[in-house]
Amino acid sequence: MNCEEVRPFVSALHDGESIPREAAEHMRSCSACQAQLEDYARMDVELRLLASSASEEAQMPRLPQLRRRWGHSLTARVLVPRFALGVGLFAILGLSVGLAWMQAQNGGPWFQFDLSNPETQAKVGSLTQAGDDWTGGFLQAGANQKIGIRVKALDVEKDRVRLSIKVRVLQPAPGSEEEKAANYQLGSRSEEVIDQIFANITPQEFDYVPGQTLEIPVQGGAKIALTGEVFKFRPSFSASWYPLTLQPDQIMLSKAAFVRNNEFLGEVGGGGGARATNSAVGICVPQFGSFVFALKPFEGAIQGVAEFGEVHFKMDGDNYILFSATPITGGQQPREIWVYRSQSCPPSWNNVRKHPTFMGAGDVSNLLDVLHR
Amino acid sequence: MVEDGQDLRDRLRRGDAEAFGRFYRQHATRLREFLRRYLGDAKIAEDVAQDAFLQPWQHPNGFDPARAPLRAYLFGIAAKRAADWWRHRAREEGSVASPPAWRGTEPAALMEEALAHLEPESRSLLWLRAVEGYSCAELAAMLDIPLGTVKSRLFAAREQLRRIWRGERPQEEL
Repeated sequence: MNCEEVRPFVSALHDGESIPREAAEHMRSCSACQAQLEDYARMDVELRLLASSASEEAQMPRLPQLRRRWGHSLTARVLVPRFALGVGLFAILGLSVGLAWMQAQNGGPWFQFDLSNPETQAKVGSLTQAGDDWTGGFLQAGANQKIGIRVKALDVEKDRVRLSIKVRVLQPAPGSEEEKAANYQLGSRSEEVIDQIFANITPQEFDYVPGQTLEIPVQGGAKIALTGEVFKFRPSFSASWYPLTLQPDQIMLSKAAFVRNNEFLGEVGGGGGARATNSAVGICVPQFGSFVFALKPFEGAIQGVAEFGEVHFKMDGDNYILFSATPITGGQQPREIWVYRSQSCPPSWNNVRKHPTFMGAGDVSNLLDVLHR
Repeated sequence: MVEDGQDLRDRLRRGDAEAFGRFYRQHATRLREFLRRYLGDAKIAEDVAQDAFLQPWQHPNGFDPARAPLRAYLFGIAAKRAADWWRHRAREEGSVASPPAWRGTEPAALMEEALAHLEPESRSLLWLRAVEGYSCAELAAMLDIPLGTVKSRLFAAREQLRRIWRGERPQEEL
């Protein structure tokens, strides 16, 4: 099947329906169709945020004039004051959503890019702005080999991006800190270990023209391909390396957003997933602490509901929704999910993170270890 | 607690205004917001919302709780009344008013304006699916259209919104 034939099935998949095998196979390897699915998810999130923020303008709807029927009358208790209070709260919460969005848009144009290894078809992607810290990822290069890439945007303009890039091939020992970092399983310690991995690598500078493919040489003769685009506003970045169908014991977050009651707590920077004994992902939400989501019950966790790209749960009287651009887990949906909240983020994160951030993925015991270390 | 189903219908049939008041308070704001998006005018949206709310009050036998909850019935009536309003307006004016000019640059404004550039029925369907959370099957029952039609219209609406939202419209150069 080609993209044109698959497009309607992307809409069906977004609605939680099963799609023909041929369509699913096409989607697994087609970044355009995956981007379409991700856009649909993003559009839904934006529409819901719009619905929340719209309440800012809401006024008291008037109750219809009911005529007396069968001798009954409308009592005078129309409960207007409670309603007015609700509208007022909505207005405040809606305003905070708007402010959060506005704050998220500062900092100049965005550079969204994919890095791929043509030999193994491995792909990672990221989103950055000029002056941001290093970003990037690890690509499978062989059975036990990875290619690590660190990218920093020195300057981002409409038709030119100045990039500083570090690349190295590594063969991490099984169970080592390097291997865990390369598999995104170290949580907050990842950055520290990754810094060590690239400590002695000299960065190369490139002038990149958006839309073109930049070939980055790697030691040993391999090449990594970088493709990217510049956006005036934060785009919905390609999540093509995230699978669309997950196993029942697999958990994944991509381009997530977090909402408490009607307050938008922010987009979650980063993403990833795990398949473990009790697969879990964690996010750090400054001012609110850490949230760990796992597929099986564990001590201190409360039960929530996962359905495709959403998790709903209630904690301490508040209703939370976690949105993800791609399905959060596999198996029959909706299904149970367990959520644990720690009052703080890991110590090394509290002072440097201003927005919700992906903490890591792995077995829940590893994530809790990161939190309580 | 949100009240719906057979019990609520029975109470409305008995003319229980308190039950109706609760039902109204639970759903009025969201229904009005849906209609505001559909119709593009808050005043008309409120009038249509009032009209939709009166339907289950005046004709409580008109809805079948086995087929859909009263809330879905309410949104279905409202959507049909809003569609009637658009048809009436098109007949009166010969054409439907053009969508608003592009003004915003923030993401929320971009989505709001992208939404406003959709056909009203596409706007309505997307809103009911994405914001109100109705399934395709529920939408088919609410709007009295075949399930396949709901799916194909949803697909067309998503693609139209996506194209507009992603920039196939006049916008400032980066």
